[in-house]
Amino acid sequence: MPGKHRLLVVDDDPLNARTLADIFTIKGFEVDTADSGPNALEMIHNQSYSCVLSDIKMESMNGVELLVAIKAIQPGLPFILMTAYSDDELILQGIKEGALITLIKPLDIDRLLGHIAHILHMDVIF
Amino acid sequence: MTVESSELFQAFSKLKVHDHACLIYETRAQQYQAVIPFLKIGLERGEKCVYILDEQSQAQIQKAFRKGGIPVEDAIRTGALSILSKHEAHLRNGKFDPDRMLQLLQQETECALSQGYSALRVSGENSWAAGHEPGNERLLEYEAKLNHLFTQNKILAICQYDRWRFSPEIILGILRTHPILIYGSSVLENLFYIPPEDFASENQPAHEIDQILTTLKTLKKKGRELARSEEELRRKKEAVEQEQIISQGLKEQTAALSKYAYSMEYLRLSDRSIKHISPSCELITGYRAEDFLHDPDLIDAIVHPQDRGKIKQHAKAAWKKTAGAQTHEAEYRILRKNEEVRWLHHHCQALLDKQGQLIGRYASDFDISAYRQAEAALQESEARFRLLIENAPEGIFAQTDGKIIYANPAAVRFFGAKNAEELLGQPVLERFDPQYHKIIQQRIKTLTREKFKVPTLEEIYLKMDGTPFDVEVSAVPYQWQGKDGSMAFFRDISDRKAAERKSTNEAARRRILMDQSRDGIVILNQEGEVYEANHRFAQMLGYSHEEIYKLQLWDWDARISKSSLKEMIRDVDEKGDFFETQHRRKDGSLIDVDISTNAATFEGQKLIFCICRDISDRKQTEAEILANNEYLNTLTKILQYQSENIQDFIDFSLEQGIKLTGSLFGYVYFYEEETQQFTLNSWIRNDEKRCNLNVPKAIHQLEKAGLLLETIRQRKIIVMNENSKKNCPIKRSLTIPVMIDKKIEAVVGLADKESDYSEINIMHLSLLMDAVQKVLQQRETLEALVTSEERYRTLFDQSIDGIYLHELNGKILDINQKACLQSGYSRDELLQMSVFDLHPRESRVISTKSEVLSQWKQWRVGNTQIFEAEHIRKDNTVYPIEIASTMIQYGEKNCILAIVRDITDRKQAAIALQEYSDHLEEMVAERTRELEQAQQELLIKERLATLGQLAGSVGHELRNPLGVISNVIYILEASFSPEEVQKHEYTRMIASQVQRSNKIISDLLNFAREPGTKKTQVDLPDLVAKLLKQNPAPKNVRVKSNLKQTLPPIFADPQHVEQVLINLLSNACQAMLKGGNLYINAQKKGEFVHLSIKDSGEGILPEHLEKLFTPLFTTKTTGIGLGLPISKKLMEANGGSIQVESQPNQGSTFTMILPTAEGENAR
Repeated sequence: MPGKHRLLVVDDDPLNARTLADIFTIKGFEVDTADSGPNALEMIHNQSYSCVLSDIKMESMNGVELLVAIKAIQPGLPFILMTAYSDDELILQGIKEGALITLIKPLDIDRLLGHIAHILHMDVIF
Repeated sequence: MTVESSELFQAFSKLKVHDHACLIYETRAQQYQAVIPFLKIGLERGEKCVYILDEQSQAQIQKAFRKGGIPVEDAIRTGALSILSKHEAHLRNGKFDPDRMLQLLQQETECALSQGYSALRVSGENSWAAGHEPGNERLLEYEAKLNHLFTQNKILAICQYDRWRFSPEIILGILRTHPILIYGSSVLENLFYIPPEDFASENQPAHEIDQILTTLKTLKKKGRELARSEEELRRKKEAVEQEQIISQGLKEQTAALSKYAYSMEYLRLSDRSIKHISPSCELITGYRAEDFLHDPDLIDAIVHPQDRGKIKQHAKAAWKKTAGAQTHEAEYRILRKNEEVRWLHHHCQALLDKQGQLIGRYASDFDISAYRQAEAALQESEARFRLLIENAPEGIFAQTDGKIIYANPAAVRFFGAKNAEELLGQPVLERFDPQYHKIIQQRIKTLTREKFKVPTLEEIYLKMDGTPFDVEVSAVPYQWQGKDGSMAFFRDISDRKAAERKSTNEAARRRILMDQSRDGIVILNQEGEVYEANHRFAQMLGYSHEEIYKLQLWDWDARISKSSLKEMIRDVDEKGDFFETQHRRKDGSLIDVDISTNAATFEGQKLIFCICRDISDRKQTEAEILANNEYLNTLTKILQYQSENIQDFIDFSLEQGIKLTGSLFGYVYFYEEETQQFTLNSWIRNDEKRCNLNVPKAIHQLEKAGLLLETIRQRKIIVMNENSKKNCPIKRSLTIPVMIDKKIEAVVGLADKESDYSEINIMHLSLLMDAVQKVLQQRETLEALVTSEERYRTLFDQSIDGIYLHELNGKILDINQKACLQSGYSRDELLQMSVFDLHPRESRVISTKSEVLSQWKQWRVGNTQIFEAEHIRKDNTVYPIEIASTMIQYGEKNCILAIVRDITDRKQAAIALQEYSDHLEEMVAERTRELEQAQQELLIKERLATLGQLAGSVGHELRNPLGVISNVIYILEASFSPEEVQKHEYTRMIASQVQRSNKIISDLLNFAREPGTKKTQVDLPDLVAKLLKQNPAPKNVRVKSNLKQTLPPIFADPQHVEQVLINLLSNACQAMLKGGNLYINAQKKGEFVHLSIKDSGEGILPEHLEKLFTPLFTTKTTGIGLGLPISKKLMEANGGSIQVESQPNQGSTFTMILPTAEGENAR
């Protein structure tokens, strides 16, 4: 089942993006990474994804801004926010804008995978 | 370029590729006229042009071309134009060979196309063929063959033939071989052309016959067609012209008739059809425009049967062809759709074409029904009208040009003329009083020029003999025989005028009478409104004369209720009434008035006539007399009053004063000048019901005494008739100082009289009080002894201090009750004792008994000493006292009056004060220590806050690398096979260290963050149960949770409570690494719940105990010592606290104290 799904990981920390992508690959997902919000938007334009995972703190376009931009084009695309800042106001804003899950780094991978399985199983979000 | 050549140019532009034309010319001009445009067009179209010369030279032809506008040099240079000689073309190799020539043309065409030209355009002179050049007999063959070549190649050509150079046979052949013929200024389709397959074949003659016959047919057909289209064209032209005439006619008609609202316009053509009809036809006939357009006969059908003959005759005349442009008119009736009859005025005019032929008629039918009706009615009424005017009682005359042209019999009579003729033709102004001439001229102008009716006016007319008489005139515009004039209607009003003048005089006389009256006169209508009033009346009430008219009776009558007044208005009749009342003036003051009133009916309206006489002065005099009488009575009463004591007398006098002045209440205050103190002596109310004043018994300070103070200060009578102070219950008052020997002894006050206190009141009261004083002074001496004893006794007994009267040897002569109470001895016991018996033996008195005794012996009356000492009670208890001793004369001998005050309370207070002051220093030191400590703590907190912020931001930054590490661990784990146990162990070690690092970061962040609380009702047992399930204790720890469900919910942020609980539970477990018991208990204490977590672990050392909540203090090898400080911070943020109890080796108990939801609500 996971083989059908393609995920997009957005993080300006290349190691974070890569390691997370590797984990998803091991778990049988197709994964792409983007190092910025604008790049992510371009990729979404050219490729359809089952779910987007994005860091919040990024240069030029933060995760919540990316979320808003994506919701404008693909309102149904599930979106997960990740951040190292547990008390960030952006988290609340992200939830308000429709992020399904916000996770604090370091990530609890099992939990994250559980969430993704759940989301993808739901098929239609909102 | 000439017109013809330009036509040719256009014709040539129609020549297309594949066309093969011949030019038969007679002159050189004709030749150029065709050739030049042909080549010019070719060059413009981007075709390769070739010209083949014959007789002319290259130079000649170039010159001609240049003259014709061909850019010869350019074209030749670019190769677009080639001019060849016949030897280079037809006669190459000295002989004409058609096949070779055809081949050459084909080659040239291909060459031109390959060079980018769109086609090959050729024109050549063929005069050589008329000569004797070898091969010229094959010319026609060549020309015929060319047609083939042309159909298959992109080529077109004009072959030039001089008509007179060739034999007619040849020319005929030429004509047969070219599909297109250029002759003169025409490019023609050659009807005599024979296709190459037939030319010079056996079929040629047969074909030619066919062709001739077909051509003839075609020609005839074309001729017919031409005639037809010419005819068509003519008709169209005519129609257009007619249409123009019609539309012009319509335009004129519409413009001419648009001003008539009740007219319909239509155009009827010669064929009787209706071309146009205005929509107004529906208004007039009831039929719609479409009805008429569809059925033109309808316009005849609606004519009234009786008028049809008339209309027929009219139509006959109107439609006569010779009628010309004249107009025709007729009046006729129609029957509307609804059968109603209407009169129409018909007017029509012929519409002619250019030749003067009748096309149609346009008509406008004007609805004149209204006129017709009016006319009929007018005729009917005229007779009646004449009768009316002739017999009218009013004078009626008419004028035009300022001359009388008609006068009715009444006018004749009024003017005193013998007959109408005497007046007719006379200037109208002669009949007006000269003072009216200007007005009359103006009125006549209005009537004749502006044609407005003029309003009715009273004027003076002159009879024929010049006698003036009053008239009332109205006039209307009038037209007579086309002249503008006016008709005047007048009425003799001489009698009325005379009566009016009389009544005006009478009214003036009456007004004078009324206005000069000394009494106020007011006339009221039934609504009580002022109908009329004289100036005196307004003056009496203090209003202006204008203001009076806005008032109603009840606005000024101050005594009688509105309903009663209304009743009076209703009931008063001619006989009238007489009564006394009070009027309220504009300024609110009251005046007494006598009213004499009666009613009369005037113009159907009941009016009430009132004469008002101001009787205030009389009333006042009456009142004064009455008051004086009363005063005398009162005075008599007071002087005759027999009473036992002064109080009774004062009360009686006060009562009399109240009655005399009509006050509501009165009082008497005694005044002591030394102490400036007022003491209430008497206080009497006249009316229990109304008065709810609380009069103070004594006023100790002069400043607070107000009125009384003023009286004292000014030492005179104070009258206050308008109290401006709010909240003061007394509205009016009269205060009188009572002076004895120039010293104020008392103040007598009277208050709240219904009206203001008058001079009389003041006079009466002061006289009264004078009498009272005198009586009092006499009585005082008599009663002084009696009363002073009583007073003295009262004061003596009621004193708060103990009073002792003793002899100079100390023997007690008299004591008051307080002395007994103080000392615990009875009066009898004390009277047997000496004052020295009251002093304890070991007293700390300053002086000994003998010293005191010798001191007293030296004293004189009035000597005083105040000192502190101690007294001993009967029960042997000692109490501190203050004694004020005074030497007084008591009867014959000197005695000592000692006033003894128990100062136990004072002493105790003093001791407390002393103690307090002793402690003060200590307290200051303590407080300083506290402050220092707080400051220290503050400093630490600040430092920690900075540290926390730093740690926080560093922590955040560390989370990203930790994230990567934990991701990598996950990947590594996945890559190891289950057998690689050691590798798994290592990765788990890394994972647990990542977790630990993250915990430190979380702690730091938590500590650095100001906790924002989201308080809600939290059920503790549920929360604890959930936490124990989520974070199970190690197996060697037994958890005994003893939380009852009855525990009330707390009010706190559940996340904070959870965090603290987890921290405490985890600390407890860490304290019991070797195992043990964990007890969780909770109970409600007041408005708080105490939740305790008790472990059986190693306990906490006493020296560590107090540092436990200090940040960064830790006894553990792991952790940075923020857990408990955070817990404390969170508990405090939630309005709770945290406590700890511990003994080494006996475990620790941490107690969370949190507010209950109930308590929170109560707060």
